[in-house]
Amino acid sequence: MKKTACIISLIFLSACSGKFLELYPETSLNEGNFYQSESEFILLANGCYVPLRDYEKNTHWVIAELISDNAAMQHTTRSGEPTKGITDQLLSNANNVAYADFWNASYQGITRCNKLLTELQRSPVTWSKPAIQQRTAGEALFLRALYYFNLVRQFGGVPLVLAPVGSQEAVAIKRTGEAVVYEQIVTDLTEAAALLEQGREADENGRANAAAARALLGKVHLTLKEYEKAAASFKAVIDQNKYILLPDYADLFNPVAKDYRETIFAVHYSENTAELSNRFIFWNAPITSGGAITLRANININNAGSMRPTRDLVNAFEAGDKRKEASIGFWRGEDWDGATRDIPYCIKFKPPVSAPNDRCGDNLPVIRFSDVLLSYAEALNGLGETAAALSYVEQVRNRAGLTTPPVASGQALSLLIEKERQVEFCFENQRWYDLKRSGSALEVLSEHGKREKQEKSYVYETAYEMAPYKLLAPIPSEQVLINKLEQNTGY
Amino acid sequence: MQLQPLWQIHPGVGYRRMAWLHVLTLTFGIVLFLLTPALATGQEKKINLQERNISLIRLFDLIRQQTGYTFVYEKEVINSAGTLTVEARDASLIELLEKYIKPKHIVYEIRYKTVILLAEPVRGEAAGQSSDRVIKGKVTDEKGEALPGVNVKVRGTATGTMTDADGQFDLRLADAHGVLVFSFVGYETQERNTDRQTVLEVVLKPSVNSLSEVVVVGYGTQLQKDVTGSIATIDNERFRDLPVSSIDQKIIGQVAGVQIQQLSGAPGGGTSVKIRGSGSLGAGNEPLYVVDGIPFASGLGQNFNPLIYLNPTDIESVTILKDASSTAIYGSRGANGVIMVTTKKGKYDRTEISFTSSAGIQTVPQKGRPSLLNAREFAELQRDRIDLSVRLQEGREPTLTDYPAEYRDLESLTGNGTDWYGLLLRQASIQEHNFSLSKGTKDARQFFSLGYLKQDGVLRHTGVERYSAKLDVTNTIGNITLSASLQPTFVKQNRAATNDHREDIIGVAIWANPLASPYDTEGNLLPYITSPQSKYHSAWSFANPLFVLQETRQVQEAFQSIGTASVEWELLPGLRAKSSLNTIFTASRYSGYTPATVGGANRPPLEGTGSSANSRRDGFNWLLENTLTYQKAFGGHSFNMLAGYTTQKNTDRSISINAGPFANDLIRTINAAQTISGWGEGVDQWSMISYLGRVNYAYRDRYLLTATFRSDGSSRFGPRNRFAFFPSVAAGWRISEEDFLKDYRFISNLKVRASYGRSGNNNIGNYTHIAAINAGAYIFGSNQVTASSVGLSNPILGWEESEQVDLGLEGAFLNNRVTLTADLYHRKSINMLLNDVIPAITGFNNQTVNKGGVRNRGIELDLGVVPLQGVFSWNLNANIAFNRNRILSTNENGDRILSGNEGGRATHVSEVGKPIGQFFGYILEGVYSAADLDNPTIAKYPTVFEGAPKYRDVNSDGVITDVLDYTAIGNPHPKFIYGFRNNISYKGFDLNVTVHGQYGGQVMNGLRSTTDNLYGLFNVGKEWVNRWRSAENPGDGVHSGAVPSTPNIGWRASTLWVEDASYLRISNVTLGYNLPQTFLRPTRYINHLRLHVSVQNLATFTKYLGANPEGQQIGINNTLSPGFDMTSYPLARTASAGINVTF
Repeated sequence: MKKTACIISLIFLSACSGKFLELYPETSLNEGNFYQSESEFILLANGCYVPLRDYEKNTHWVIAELISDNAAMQHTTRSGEPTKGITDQLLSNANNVAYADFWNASYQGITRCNKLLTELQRSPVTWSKPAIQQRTAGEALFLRALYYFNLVRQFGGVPLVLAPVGSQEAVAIKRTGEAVVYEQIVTDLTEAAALLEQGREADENGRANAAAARALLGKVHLTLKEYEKAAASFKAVIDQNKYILLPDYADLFNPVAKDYRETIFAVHYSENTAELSNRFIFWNAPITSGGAITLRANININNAGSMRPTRDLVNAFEAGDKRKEASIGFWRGEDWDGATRDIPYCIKFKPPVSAPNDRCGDNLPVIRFSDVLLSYAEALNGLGETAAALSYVEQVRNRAGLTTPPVASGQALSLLIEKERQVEFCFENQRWYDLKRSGSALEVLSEHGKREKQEKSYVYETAYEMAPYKLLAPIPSEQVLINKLEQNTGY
Repeated sequence: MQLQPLWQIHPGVGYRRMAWLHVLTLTFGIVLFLLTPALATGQEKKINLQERNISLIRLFDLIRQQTGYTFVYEKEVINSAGTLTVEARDASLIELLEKYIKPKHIVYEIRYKTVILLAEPVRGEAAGQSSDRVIKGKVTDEKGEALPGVNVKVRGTATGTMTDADGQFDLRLADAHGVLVFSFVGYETQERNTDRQTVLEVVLKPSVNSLSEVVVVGYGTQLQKDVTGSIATIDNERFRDLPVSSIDQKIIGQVAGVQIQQLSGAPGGGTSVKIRGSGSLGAGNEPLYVVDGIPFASGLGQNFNPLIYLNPTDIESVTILKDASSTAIYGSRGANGVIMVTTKKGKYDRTEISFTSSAGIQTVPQKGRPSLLNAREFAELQRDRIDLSVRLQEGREPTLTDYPAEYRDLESLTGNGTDWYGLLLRQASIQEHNFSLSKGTKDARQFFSLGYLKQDGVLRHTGVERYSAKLDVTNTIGNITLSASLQPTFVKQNRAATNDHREDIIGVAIWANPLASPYDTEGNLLPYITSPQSKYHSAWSFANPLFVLQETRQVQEAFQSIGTASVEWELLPGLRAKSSLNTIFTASRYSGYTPATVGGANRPPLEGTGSSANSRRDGFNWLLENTLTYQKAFGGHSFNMLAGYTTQKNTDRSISINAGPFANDLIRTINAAQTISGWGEGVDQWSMISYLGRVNYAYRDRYLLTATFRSDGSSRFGPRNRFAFFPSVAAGWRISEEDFLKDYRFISNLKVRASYGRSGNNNIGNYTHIAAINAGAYIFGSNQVTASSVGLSNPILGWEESEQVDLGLEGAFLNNRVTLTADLYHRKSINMLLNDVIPAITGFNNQTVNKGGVRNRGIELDLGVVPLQGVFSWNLNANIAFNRNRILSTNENGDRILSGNEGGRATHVSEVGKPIGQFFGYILEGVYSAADLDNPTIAKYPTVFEGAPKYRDVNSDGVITDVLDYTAIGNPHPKFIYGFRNNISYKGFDLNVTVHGQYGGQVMNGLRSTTDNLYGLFNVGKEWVNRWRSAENPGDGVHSGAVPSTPNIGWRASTLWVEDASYLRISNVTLGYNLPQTFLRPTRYINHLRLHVSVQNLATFTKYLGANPEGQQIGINNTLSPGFDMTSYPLARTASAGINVTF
């Protein structure tokens, strides 16, 4: 009736013009009919995880693991494969798509978090439980911090965007100093930890929780060498007594029985659909292995052999380290040069059998309890409490079936922790950041480069040459052009 | 000599021509004439006047204000009458006229509510002379109806008379060699020599270029002489005999600056219409169509022409608004020009039954059919390919046994082999029948029509059928006029896949192996053709295109009904209010079925793989319009004002279901399918609220001014940019009315006009400005959840905007025997819809924004000449238009826009400073010789070989790389387009010849990736006989050799693909014969009978080797990627004959 009245009035007047011209698509959700209830906000929170999942499966390992001394491409041509090859050979320039993708996905995630946080404040809805509201806000803050933490560790200072922006405003936003970005990360994580703590009763496996926020906060402080604050954060997680070290390291990577006891936060995958799955094993298996490792002979593994464990990594495992078997597999067969040998490959993310197409459901851990322990040790060591620190390192080593020799000094303990982290977290996208934090990146990568170059006679003269400027990634050229951003020196 | 209406006849009363004045007399004329005083006295209001020394014009004005009567008069008569003093109290009109007008030697007639004034006949003068002969005669119109009131004058003298109610006249001549001049408003003036004749039969033809012609403009009508914008009108007469199914095809080549491209020859397929060039990047170039005042943007429907819903026989006239001053009244939809269609209405004064019928045969001309390697040449190419493979794989010289048996004996291969293309074609019939009834009295008019069209396609198993009807009723009660109309149409179309890709029916028929036979030994059609196989190389096997055509079903059925109702109320003299409700309802259904017996290229049919595609769509569009018009004249001033308020809403709903596989092909409905393979539902809505206004002002009939505005609020625009404002202003100066030109009698009319205005293009999609909520998925543990994200909204997203300046000149010379219209325009389109790259920190990389600009400028000329007039008459009309298109800007970085798709690579590039959509590809420089291969300074590509095509290294990096070495290699825009019409008539015969075409501009033949492909997979163009074969036999240096191995870049888009698209088409030749009245009168019922024969598309002259120089791949954006021809459905040549009878 109201509609009829409106139409009649339209004949003579424009009384209904405002509403009359507001049309929204019926076949899909849109801003006009969204933000109506709690469930819409939960959907948006879920959406904040998606860019993280996507970049972890596609790009992050290229610029955090392949770039390091842990991995190299199985074979390459002289000029290098345009994304992975040149990253591996430390030849990246601003056109490297890996960095562009990482940048785009990171800001896509940040924008989703920003949008959620803005709408949470603007559109009040009735929450069935306050805990869900707190959890939702906490997730957004945690994920925003995580996106920025990875960005700042890759690129240095980046544009700090904390609310949704349009293209016109965006052009005016420039890179912010590294310290300011870190400050914001600390603020976000502190708030996230508090909110998630309040929202504890709404915890769900796989979502960010208070422990994840605290652990990440600790890692941020550790990166900033704020050992006291770092130690406090880690201690809080340890004292919570919720998380343990799994007796068997290999159980951490079982896609069938996903771990929530040691794994504090992970990116979740499922083989259900292409969107939800990763294809790590199809990248990691030797390119020459056909279907021998994937057990899916019908699937083309054109891009396989992208991340082959280096001799450095293989040798980093001490004798008797149970983790080696769970991390690195060997397949005997023809290598890229035609010679038959035992070819190492990463076995951590290998499902017993993948789905019929190249879909795998192995989770990728972001923070594990062993990380908390080793990071706590690092913080304590930084504070001079070497003996206390050592006991946490021992816990991790013991689980791996190793004993720990006495450590003479804090410096020796630092080296031990660094080495320990390399084997404990190989292929978990930690190595590049660990090397940068410890300050040994230049040295380690230079040595690694020399060894790689010896094996690969065909590469360019400049390949694998480490330089201080390479500790910061190039700002993607497209963004330098469009967003008028300042490029990092050297590129 | 023309009658000069003081006053514009009100729209709706007699919009088309002043001719109605005459028409009125035909049946009732005599009666009315006799009864005039009585009727007039009886109906009239009393007049009170007291004026001193006023002109007659002023007097008429005063009378009109009090009575509503309109005056039509001959200017010279009124001017010579001087001034007078009038006193009247409660006088009737008749009394006044008798008292004041008659003494001035002016005779008057009152017809309907119009007073016609003429100089008193000069019988007395003639009688007073010692004349030696008397000329008698009768004046009739083309239909043989008597014309009363026609002025008959002796040329060069004041002697003259007027025809009586029976059209008869008699006149005494002083001279034996007098020339009589017959003139009547709305008719062409005719001169007749009276030598040795005493009885004359004079037939007057309605005038085409008459200044008193009323033309349809947006929301009203105007007299041609008062028009200040660039407007062209085409009457039904100019297209009635053309044997085509839709109005767009009928007006091809008729108007300068309107480029109508027939993208496909498929029955019911759509055309692309561009008025004054391409002024859009993202919103399309199609004009707005307005049918009887209902605007609807049709867009481009290449498969199904939205204009096929209109039966052209029901169309009275088509008006094309070109400049911004005339299109601004359509605001955000007017930027690409407006095509206004006016359908037939009942005539005032008579009952008329009309029947038209025509039938014809369509064939495909030989010109444009593919020319390919014959059987032997094809076998040679296959052998070349096998030779290369044997050498490469086995390192030996090939022997005869390496070839499949079919290719071994070249001598036995004679003739062209199977003509797969010809196999698909047929002679197809076209027939059309229309019936109409028109009935009218003074207060009520009705028009009813029925129409049927059936056009079979020249491609077998295709065709279209249309059933149409129309009912239109108008009633006048006092000063209220009510009208309503209903126009339902049903269309059924059988389609085939063409204009699409190399594996569609026509694609396969072009490249299919000429050695294979479509039939088995028993003469049955084979479903699948296996090419001769060898272990080294084989041409593609394929589904028999004729079998595919026969077995695959693609049927579109559609119903549309246009319904209108309106009420118009004359509140005060000159002030009218009108409200109308207009609706368009559309329902359509598509059903397609591909049975399991239909395979594909290299894909033999497989049992149990049948599939179906179905969709249903219904749409409802309603429009409410309220307008107020006011007319006022005083002194030399005349005003005509319009204000309006309209609302419109459109809703489209659709459902689609694809099903398959079907276990068998026995039952083909969805229930028999094993699964539903795809489904969807769509709801699309838009709404608009508009305010509009216009003022026409004329001073002393020579200084004209028009100002227009429209404000459109649209649901398509972002909330911060919801209303758009489109103003325009135009001025005209009728120089021929000025005293200093009065003496130049060879100038019948001369007007200059100038206009400026803004209009928009709102085809930007319905919800583009709204941020969509995208649904994704995430998994927490084993719990899969929906993960949503908010898209990017653009609250300021708006229309594409166009600003246009137009300078025009209209002239008529030598008593209208030469007419010229010239227009110069400059159209600048800005705020183009562009998918722009944006900073990633927004969370997005692309956004649709309003950026960039395009300029079109050009000249249009329209020339009409009547070299012969009289019994034998000849009318000539020629038009030509030059348009230059240029992109002014894109985004801030001036990025070029790549578009089109051939094998994943762009085919078009749009760059700043260049025309839109230039062809994009390699520059072919010849063929690599062995020496070239050894020369390191010559750029190569990795898979190069001796005899491979040599492309230019455009970026000079030493390597030939796809896309990086592509450059602009051609321009799809013609230098000029033209049309040429000839109308010759003698007695009842008339001959019409229409020619149109374009000069310059190029076309890219997309099928060349197949027919230039020397892999040996396909048959290739005949010119490849001259290919490179060896160092000793290098061919013509242009055509490369057979390709030794895959992959290769030997068949990329290159200059070889770009051909001249110039063409000249004799688009229609019609010979008609109107039976003379002497035959018809004895029948007593038949008023008019016309017979005609016609040939459509008689011949096309072009250098282009493909089927259609205007062909366009289906689904390819013809704004950014025009001129990309792909497997075109050929245009038919139609020979037809027809009859039109009026009772």
